[in-house]
Amino acid sequence: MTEAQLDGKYLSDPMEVRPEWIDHNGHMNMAYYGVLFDKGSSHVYRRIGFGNEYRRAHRHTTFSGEFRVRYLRELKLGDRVRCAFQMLDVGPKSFHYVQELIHSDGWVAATGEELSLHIDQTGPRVAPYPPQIMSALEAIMAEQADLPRPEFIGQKMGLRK
Amino acid sequence: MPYRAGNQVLKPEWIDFNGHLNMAYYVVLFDWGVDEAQASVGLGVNYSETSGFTTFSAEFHIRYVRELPPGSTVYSTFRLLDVGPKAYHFCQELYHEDGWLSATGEGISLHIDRSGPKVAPYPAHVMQNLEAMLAEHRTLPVPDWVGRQMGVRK
Repeated sequence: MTEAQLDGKYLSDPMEVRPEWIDHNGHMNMAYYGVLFDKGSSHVYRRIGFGNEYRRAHRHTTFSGEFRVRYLRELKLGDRVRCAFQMLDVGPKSFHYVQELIHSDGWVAATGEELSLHIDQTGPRVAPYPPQIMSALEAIMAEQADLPRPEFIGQKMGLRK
Repeated sequence: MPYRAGNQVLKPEWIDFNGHLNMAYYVVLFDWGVDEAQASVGLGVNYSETSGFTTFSAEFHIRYVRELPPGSTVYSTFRLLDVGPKAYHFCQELYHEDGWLSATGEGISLHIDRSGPKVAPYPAHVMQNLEAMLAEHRTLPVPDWVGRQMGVRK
């Protein structure tokens, strides 16, 4: 594959923090990290074979089942970040992955963890992947199988007291 | 009763090629609900702009339950789960105005001294309000999805 990588994780193109995402704290509002994570994964979804063409041709698409963000550092207007993608697990109807938003200076601003579901839009209901999609998902899983699983995956949320 | 925030209408630019509310914008709706709940305990926008302190989100976890069509009117609820001297843990539900559940949220909010920024203790009156709200919310059942870990079903 030709896309950029960092330590075996797939990297998106750089994205810039927009003025309409800045809140009264003078930083990017927590709500818009999700926008960057979503846009920053679309190159991987395209590689797998998903997107609007797939949806129109097959009446199947992907929905997010769950999403969890850990906010590590503030992002300011004009900051540029790339999104890193690591596959954690693949099933017949869903896949699980983790992302990082990496600032152009190299530090991690946030992590994202997502469960993506394959959806038959005539339901909508969860449905098995067709063989060509399953192969693409398994190829990514195989390519990233040796990457360490981040320690925060599976950690229960709660207060430190 | 959990705190209930006011109604919100989806913006057209939040709809994606699936013809529903894009996953990223659920957080915008949940965050507006948090803003309202925080204002009710003395942590509103005015507090952030005048006190030198504010709140940051440390973590947020959404479970998407049912898609929202364009133009939907929704509202969110807010329930405190735990309160510490510098942070609180909460959960939310996002409902369509017709009464069905669209998504759940769970998060941690930090109290921040903007001069750092660094985590800092709540002032006494805010702590009192948070503890009063927690006492009320503790009489409600904790939803079974709180603290749950996501994973692939095989």
